[in-house]
Order: sequence, then structure tokens, then C-alpha cells
Amino acid sequence: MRRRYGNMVLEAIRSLLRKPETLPSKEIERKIFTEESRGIPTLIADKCIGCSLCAMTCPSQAITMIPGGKRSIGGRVIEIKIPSFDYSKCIYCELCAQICKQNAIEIRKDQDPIIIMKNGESR
Amino acid sequence: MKVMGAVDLRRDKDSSVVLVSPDSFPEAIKATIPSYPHLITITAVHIDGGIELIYSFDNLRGEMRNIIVRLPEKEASIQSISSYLKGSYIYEMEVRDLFGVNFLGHPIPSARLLLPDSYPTNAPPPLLKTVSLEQLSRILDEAQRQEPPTMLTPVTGSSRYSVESLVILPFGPYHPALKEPEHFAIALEGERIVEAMPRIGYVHRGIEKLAENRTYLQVLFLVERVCGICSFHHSWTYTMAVEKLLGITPSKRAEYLRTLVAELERIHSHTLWIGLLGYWSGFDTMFMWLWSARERIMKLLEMIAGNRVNKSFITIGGVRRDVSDEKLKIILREIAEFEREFRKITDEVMSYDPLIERVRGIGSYNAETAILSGAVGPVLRAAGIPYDIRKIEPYGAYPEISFNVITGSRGDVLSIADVRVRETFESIEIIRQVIEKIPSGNPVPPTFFTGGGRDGEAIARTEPPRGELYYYIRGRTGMKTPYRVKIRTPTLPNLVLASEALKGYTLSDIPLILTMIDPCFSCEDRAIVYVGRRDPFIVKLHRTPPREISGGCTL
Repeated sequence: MRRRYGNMVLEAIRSLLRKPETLPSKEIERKIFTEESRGIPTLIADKCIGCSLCAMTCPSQAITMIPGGKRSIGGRVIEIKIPSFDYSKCIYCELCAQICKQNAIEIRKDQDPIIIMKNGESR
Repeated sequence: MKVMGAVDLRRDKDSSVVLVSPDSFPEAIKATIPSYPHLITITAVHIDGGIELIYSFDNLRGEMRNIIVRLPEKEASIQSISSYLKGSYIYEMEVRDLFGVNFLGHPIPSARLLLPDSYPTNAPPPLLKTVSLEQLSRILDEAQRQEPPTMLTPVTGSSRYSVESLVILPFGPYHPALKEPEHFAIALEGERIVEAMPRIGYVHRGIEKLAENRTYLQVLFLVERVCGICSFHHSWTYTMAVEKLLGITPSKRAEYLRTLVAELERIHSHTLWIGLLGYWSGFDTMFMWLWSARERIMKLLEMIAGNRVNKSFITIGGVRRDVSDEKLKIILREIAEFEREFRKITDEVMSYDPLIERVRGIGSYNAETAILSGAVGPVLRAAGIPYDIRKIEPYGAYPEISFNVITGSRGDVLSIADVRVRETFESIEIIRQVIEKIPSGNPVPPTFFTGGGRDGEAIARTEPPRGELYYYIRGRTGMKTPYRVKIRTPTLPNLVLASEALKGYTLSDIPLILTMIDPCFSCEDRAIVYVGRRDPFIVKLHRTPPREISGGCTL
């Protein structure tokens, strides 16, 4: 019995000295992206050749191809389409960046993630 | 190594495939059940102007037998087999809802399982190939606008009790004792439960139908979202089926990394469940302790895959990122720390008399009931049946790893808790072996698979924390999308067992007995399209002006 109480006191002291299990909200905001997490896809428009591979493979169909102006590719000037990201559909899987042969999609971690709010309320 | 499942069902020369006509079907079933008592599922495929039903059986030792029967498209009907195998009624209801097949002699002839009650009876069944996504959206949209909303009174088999002196208690879909929407019609005699009839389908997300409209690579990300807790197992099983269909072999290192993530997932899922057991029996401290221990595993998963829940770690032909040796060392260290913590907590709580007294003998069932209900996973193993897909049909790195299949001696809540605790320790040992034996090499395929399928069928099975998971994929040459993807999640058969086990216990035991099977209600519901709400959503993007999107929820 005495050992049991001893354990209880020990456990209580340990819990008092330990860091909390949950993160304070400030720390969460700072820790949005870790080293391993996948970030937000953004387009480097100069590199894009308008092949639509990203739009065809996007799992959540968040990429639509929109007119992107004229571009000179291989000596010829042609009208190309460039991807436009719908971030409300994006699942941040990084597939578009990995599949792009021109490395025209950059994954950025310096932006805040996107917040969806109903009826225009903002955080 | 034994070949897993059947690569091409029709081309198999052995007796694992039996093609029967509807007339000789009952005899074939009667001859099969004594030696193959475990019905995995009934897969329906709408193909070439008819409906094909594939009854997949297992002899509980890893040998499968598929009985295939072909029915006409119009007014398809076949004998129900629920008089031989009780658990089959839930699969029959699923096929009836989604393909319109009538099962003669079904115990609950009129009720629906998955489709909303507002779905018009004269509308075509949703999973037929002749029904397009747009048509389905329109049907559901019109049905939901009608007054009064019929969803408020779910139809179950309870009407047959209306003449007797029993009380029918509607339990759910929104109830404090349920974390996810689920309805049970519970027939009560005083406080005692006489029968419990489940009604699911409140969280349908149309995954099987949607999978037929997306490419093979896109479906991988879709099936990952069937279940949040065993998300990796879903994507792995799907990948395994596609790899079998197309004849792709992943590298050895990729197989080891998949096994590593799968076992980490099992540890976190079991820890979560043991915590919930404390929660439902009023022992909140236990819940807090275990969930804080689980956090260590979640951080490891985040470190490996980048995400905590939907890991996006696997791809067809390999994995999407390598795990460095330093990270493997961190995993070893953290796992040892977790083991110490977990052992301490479970030693304390599993010897705490009030908890043991609360859960001992609750929801008891025997091995025979479990087999007849089609139960899988720890629920079946607790009754003493060593049914573990990792052992009987080894996949991934499991053929090269030695581990024990944990079984219990009797089926009840306490025994299942014990099985899950011991399985967690076994998983820790598996992870140690995986890290010790992992070969070097590049697990990431040079290019991602973006092609289409070919004619054929493939079955893949794995052992997620909750029990056997089954995927069936049918491909067609020249089609970018799978022709049919069938998912059988472990909670569906376990739910039949839970409603069996509820009989004879009191109303206050319902949360514990339902928790016993570790239900994942959302993973059973995956077959129709949700139209979405009409309120406009505003998307706010940092540093860009807000914009309005029309149409509401994405599919």
C-alpha cells in the first residue's frame, strides 16, 4: 500500500515537471509545416509548357487548364494553357509537382494553409 | 511464396473458381459451406448486359473459393443464402441496394442498408453501368427536396415485432453513445435486448461509383479516404490489387517500408481502441494516458510520410519517398520508449479490478457464432480462431518475418482487449525485425504509373487493425479507369456479430459491445453520391482576395 502511494506521488511530480502533451495554440500556428510535410503547390509560369499532365493526374481534380498566353517553344510561338489551382479542392499530395517533367510546379511552405469559412466569416 | 488471391479468376485451373447457373446455385453453396465456412463478401459486377455475383469464400486457412453466378440485368433474383450463413444477409442487402438484385427468402425483405430511404423505388440502382454520375446526382437531388423528409424514419426489420409486447427503441443515428452516425432498431424486453437491427449508410460518399470515373492513380488517393485510421491499409490493398492486375513488382525495400508503416498504423489504432474502452466504461484517465502515448506513434508517421492521417505514402510500383537510415534509428528509439510507456499503462489498467469487472463477460460469443456471422480480425481471433491474413496469405515483408498470431480463449470485451494489447507488443517486435532486415535500394519508382488497365480481375487481401480487408478490381483493356472496384471493409461483418452479441445484455452495455468490434462506421458507407449543400462557401487564401465557389461540397 505504501509503495502504491509512493508511486502516486512520484507520478504526480513527474506529470508536473513534464511538458504538456498538447501544444499551445501559438506553437501550432508556428508549426504548420514540418520538414517532412508537403506544402502548397504553386506554378512557375515561365517553365510551364502546357502539357496538362498535372490536370490529368490530380486526384481531387483541383487543377483546371486556363489560357496562359503565347509562349515560344522550340522556335515556334503558340497559345498555351497553364494550370490553375483550386485550393479548396487541393489535398496537398504533391503529386502534380512530382509528375511535372519541367519542374514547373513548386511546393511552397512559406504560405499559410488555406482556410475555408462558411458565409464569409474569417478567422 | 504463396500467390496471394487469384490474379485472374477465370484463367485459374484449380478448383478455386466455380461457375454455376442460378438453378444449381443452392446446391453449390450447400456443398461449399462445410469446408469453406467464411464468406468474405458478395461482389456484384454489371457487365455485358448482365449482373455477375461473385461469392468469395475462405476455409479459414487461406484457400479461397469463388462461386460465380450470372443473372440477367432486368429483374435479377436469386436464392438468399442467409439460412446457411447468417452473416451473408448484410452483403445481400448491399447488393440489393446497389444493383437491384432480389434475394428470395431474405430475412429482412423490405429494408434498405446503404441507400437513403428517400431514394425512389422506381429509380435505377446506382451502381449499374447504365447510370451516370449526373443522373445519380439528379435523382438524389430531387428525392431530398421532397416533403416530408423520409430520412427521419429509417426502415429496418423491426416492423415484424410490432404485434408483440416488445419495445422498439430507435438508437441513433445521432446518439451520445455513438461517435459516428449509425442507426439501430433495438427490440427490448424490459432492459434486456432481444434483437438489434443495424441500418447504416448515413455517411455515404460514393467511393465505389467514383472509382469507376477516375484513373488508376487517382483512385489510390480516393480509397485512402475510406477510413482515417487504417488509411494506409486501404491504399496498400488497392495498390496490391492493381499491381497484380498489371503484373508490376515493387522493390524489396518498398515492401519493407510498406510493412513498417502498416505496423505503425496497427499500433496507433490498437492504442486508440484500448483508450476508447476506458472512455466507454467511464475510466477517462486510461483514455488520456493511452492517447498521449499514441501521440508518439503519430509523430513517427508524420516523420515518415509527411502526414498524420492520409499518408499518401504508397504508389503503384513502390512508395513515394524513401526513409533514411537516421529516421529508421529514430523509429527504433521511439518505439522502445513507446513500448516502455505502453507496458506500464496496460499493466496498470488491465489489473484494475473495477475495469475488469465492468468488461468481463460482456458481449460474449463463441467461435461458431463468430464464424457464422463472418467476423474478422481481433474479434474472430479472441474466440480462438487464428485467422490472420498476414500469416495465412503473407504479403509485403511478412513472409520473411517471424511473428505469432495472437488468439484468445473466449469471446467477450475483456478477451478482445487482451488480444489487442498483445498484438500491439507483437507489432513492436515486427517493426524491430523490419528495421533490422530492411534491404538497401531505391523504393521510389522512376516514373509514376499513369497508364490504363487491361482485361482481368484481381483480388487483394490485407490485415488492417480491424481485420481482413478485401479489394476486388476489374480492368478492361483500353480503359483508363477501373471497370469495377469493390471494397469490403472489416466493420461490416463485425457489425453482424455485434448485433448478435448484443442479445441478452442490457441497454447500458450497448456502447461497450459496439466498441468491442472497433467500429468504423464511415468505412462501411461508401456507395452513393452526395449532392452537397447549396450554401455558398467562401474560400480565403492568404494574400489573395476571397472568392466564391459555386456548387458547394466537392465530391
